[in-house]
Amino acid sequence: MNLRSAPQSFSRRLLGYFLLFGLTSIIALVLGVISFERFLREDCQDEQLLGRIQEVRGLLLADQKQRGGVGAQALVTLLGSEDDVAYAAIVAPDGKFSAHTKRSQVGQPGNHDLLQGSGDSLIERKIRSNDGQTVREYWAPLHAGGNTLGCLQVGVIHAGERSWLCHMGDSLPMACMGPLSVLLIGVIVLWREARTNAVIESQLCAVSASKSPADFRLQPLTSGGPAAEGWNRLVEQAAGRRTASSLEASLNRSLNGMQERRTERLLNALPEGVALTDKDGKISYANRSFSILLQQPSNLDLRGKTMPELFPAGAKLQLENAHLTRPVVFEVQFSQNPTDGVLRVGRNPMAGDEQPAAVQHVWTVSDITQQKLADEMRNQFVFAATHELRTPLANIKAYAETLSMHEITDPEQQKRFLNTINSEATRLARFVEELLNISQLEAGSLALSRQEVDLERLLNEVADKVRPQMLQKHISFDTQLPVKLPKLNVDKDKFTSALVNLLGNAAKYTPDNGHITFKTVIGQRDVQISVEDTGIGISREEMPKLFTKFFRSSDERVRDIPGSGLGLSFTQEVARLHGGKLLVHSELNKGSQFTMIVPA
Amino acid sequence: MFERSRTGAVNIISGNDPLNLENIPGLEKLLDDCLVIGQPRVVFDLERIPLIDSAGLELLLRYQDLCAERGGVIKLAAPTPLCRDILTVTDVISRFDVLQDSLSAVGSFSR
Repeated sequence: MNLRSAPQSFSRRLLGYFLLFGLTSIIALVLGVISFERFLREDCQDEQLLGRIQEVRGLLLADQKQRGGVGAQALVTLLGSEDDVAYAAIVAPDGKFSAHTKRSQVGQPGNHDLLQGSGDSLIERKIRSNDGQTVREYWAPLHAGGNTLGCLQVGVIHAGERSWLCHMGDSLPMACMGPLSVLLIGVIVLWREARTNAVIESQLCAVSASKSPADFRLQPLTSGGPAAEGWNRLVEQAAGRRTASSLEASLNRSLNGMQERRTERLLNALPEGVALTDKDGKISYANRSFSILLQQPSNLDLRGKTMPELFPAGAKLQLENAHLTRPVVFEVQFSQNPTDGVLRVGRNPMAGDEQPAAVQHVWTVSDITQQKLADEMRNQFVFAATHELRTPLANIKAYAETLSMHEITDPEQQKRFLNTINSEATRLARFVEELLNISQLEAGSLALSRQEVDLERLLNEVADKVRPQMLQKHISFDTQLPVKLPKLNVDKDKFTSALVNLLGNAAKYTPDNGHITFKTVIGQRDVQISVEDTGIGISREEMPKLFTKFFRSSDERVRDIPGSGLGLSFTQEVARLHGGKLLVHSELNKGSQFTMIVPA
Repeated sequence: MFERSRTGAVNIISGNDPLNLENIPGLEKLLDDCLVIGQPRVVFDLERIPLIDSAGLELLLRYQDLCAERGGVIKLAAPTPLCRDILTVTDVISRFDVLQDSLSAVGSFSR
């Protein structure tokens, strides 16, 4: 039994040791008692036997002296009847048995080796008999008056020596019964006492073997005793602590979850995009607006993607040139047309990241499309104002100075100069008028003064206003009006201005010898007035910006012609104010068609 | 009839029919188109809309939420007195910026 093996519990080891040492002690005790008892018994028997031998020797000597040794055989037989005496004999000086318990041996030669010497002391020797038994042989010399009479030979086989093992077998159960009973009682008592410890130990062993000791549930003990009671209190405390810590952990998880959800809700509620990239430049977090602003599906998981994958190509250069540890702000445009989206992107290194190789970045993205368009419009206004104010003023000033400082006597030349000054002043006045109209539009104060208008007369007046420009450029002007036109409830001045704008643009941007059609169609619920020309046309790219205030085409042919970029914007607004709309269809280098639709 | 136009990056929804159950499907399609790409900036021009019923109010609120989810917003422009009263009584007006005309509404996105 390997008592030191690890899985053995302490109580079992204790019981094992107890049994081992108890049994060993009992066996040793029993053996000791038996050996001592045997020693005492043998010693006592030897003393008695030796006394008897000495007594018989004295009797033999007396018999020899008084009767000439006739009673020797009887004395030997008497001695041979003693317990433990196997045989007795007298060896005569001639070496033959003169007497023997076995009468047949008388006269037979005996062992006469020990006849020598004259001492009276007993000689003891051990010999092995023919049947294998150990025989203790005693030799007592018989001396009388200086003559040697022989020697008394006694063979002793102790009964205890013959069957002490048998005796031990008889007495051993009785000898062991008591100690074994005590030992058994001790085992039971010890087991009862150690059982509590055994259960505690087994639970502690299970705790130590458990991968997550905190989750291990200790079991209370059902048996009584102070140790069990103490253990049960500890279990209760541990259970209480576990419940508390479990509750605390649950609360923490819940709070953390709430915090995370709140933070996520907060970030998702922001109209600005927010994202975080790790040291490898891969997105580890992006809020919803970030995906939307980058024109990605809002439910797309951007984690693991890199910024250059998401931004338009133009952003890559900006990012490559920026040092990792420095904040960088740049603008990204999704296409050449700013109305498709312009983003302002900011990249800031995460606070605390000092190693450039391990830097994380916080990205912010905001949509600045409208601001960008407003900036663009402002720039166009400045350009238009500069051009449209400075050019007529310069012309007026130059002609006026010429007239005043030089003596121009030719009336025709004077008239031509004055006409030029007049036309430039008219141009200046028109621009100022348009600016006022636009400012009224911006302020929302452009109100309509509706009145019932004869549409046919109104259209003819409009045509008459632009006809001189057509004639000047040899443009064929075709007016197509229905036979009967209804009366419209419109603001006559603004409606006329809007149509003059359309026809004036057609005249301005149609080359010499071109063709313009001014056509009116009466619908069921509306009136459609269209102006179609064979002019420069408008490119597809510039079409979305056509009605933007101050917008002028980048086409050189348009740039060469004076214009404020306000006419179409004003016309569209007039159409809208009348409950109608302005449609445009155009093809570059082929011509344009503007259709103003107003309710009948 | 309702239609969608664009001024810059701003979508303008305008029309001259009542904003009621009958016209909801068409309006939903127009508004869905505004939600396709980027953050929606929408001006709902109410200048010529004579009436808004409960379905119309619900549509406005629903799409205001959808726009907000994408970081955008719907602004109302030039409601008629009746429409303004309806919006005020139902407190729907508290969920929207209401501007006097569509031009101002479009311009407000530039600030």
